Amino acid sequence: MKNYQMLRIIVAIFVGIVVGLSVSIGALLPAILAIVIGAMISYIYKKSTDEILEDERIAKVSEKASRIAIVVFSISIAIIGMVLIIMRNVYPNYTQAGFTLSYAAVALLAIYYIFYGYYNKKYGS
Amino acid sequence: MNPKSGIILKMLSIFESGLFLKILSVFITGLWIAGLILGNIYIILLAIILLIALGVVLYIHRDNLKEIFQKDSSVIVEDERTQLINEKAATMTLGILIAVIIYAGIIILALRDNYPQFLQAGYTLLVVAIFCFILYFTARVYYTRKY
Repeated sequence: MKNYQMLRIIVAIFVGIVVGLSVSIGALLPAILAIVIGAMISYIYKKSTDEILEDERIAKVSEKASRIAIVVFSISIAIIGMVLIIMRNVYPNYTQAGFTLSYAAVALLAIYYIFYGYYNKKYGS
Repeated sequence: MNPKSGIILKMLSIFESGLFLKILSVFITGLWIAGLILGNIYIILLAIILLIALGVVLYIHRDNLKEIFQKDSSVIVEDERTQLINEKAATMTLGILIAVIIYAGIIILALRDNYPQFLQAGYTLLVVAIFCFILYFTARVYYTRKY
């Protein structure tokens, strides 16, 4: 597990540096390439190794943390987005941010219910 | 106990009944929609205050929520299977959402010369991704300690 963690840190640093540089120079291609290469390295290592990469306890903790994070996150962005849209007359500069947050909240709900439906079927509705 | 305080307690118990809580949550939703349509922040503030009050009542009665809601209707009680589905769906959603938000944010920022009007959206997406990461890792630390 330690080797995998080390590899993930190195890949994250590599992708972070390349993406940061490409954003600062305004070029899209290096960022996309870095992300794809990073994802591929991680995937290939995962498939080829015999190491135990995640035990049941870590998976359980991760699932519980995801659930609470999703709840708090969706409520927060929905409320902040709504407040920014409502205050469009007072702070017109932040209207775009408000719409972005609201769209993100809608996307989150859509993705969540798609996966809910999928797992509901998988575990027998 | 004198009859007067008995009546007061009975009146107070109405505020903790399942039906009242359901009506209140519908009312709060109505306030959100009204505030959004009218563009009035005071309506939204009222909705937030009521939401906090509702949250406090639910938190106080967190151990017997089942009894409160089952009195007047068939409440959706979360069993182990539903919990498992919710957790698995949340894990997948979080992973995909963070990835999509970061990619979209990077693409928008990288294309700022061509589409400068979307710059704020790009920054918002990256800030949102960081916020989501912070929430996730805070929750993860909490559950790691708990288990």
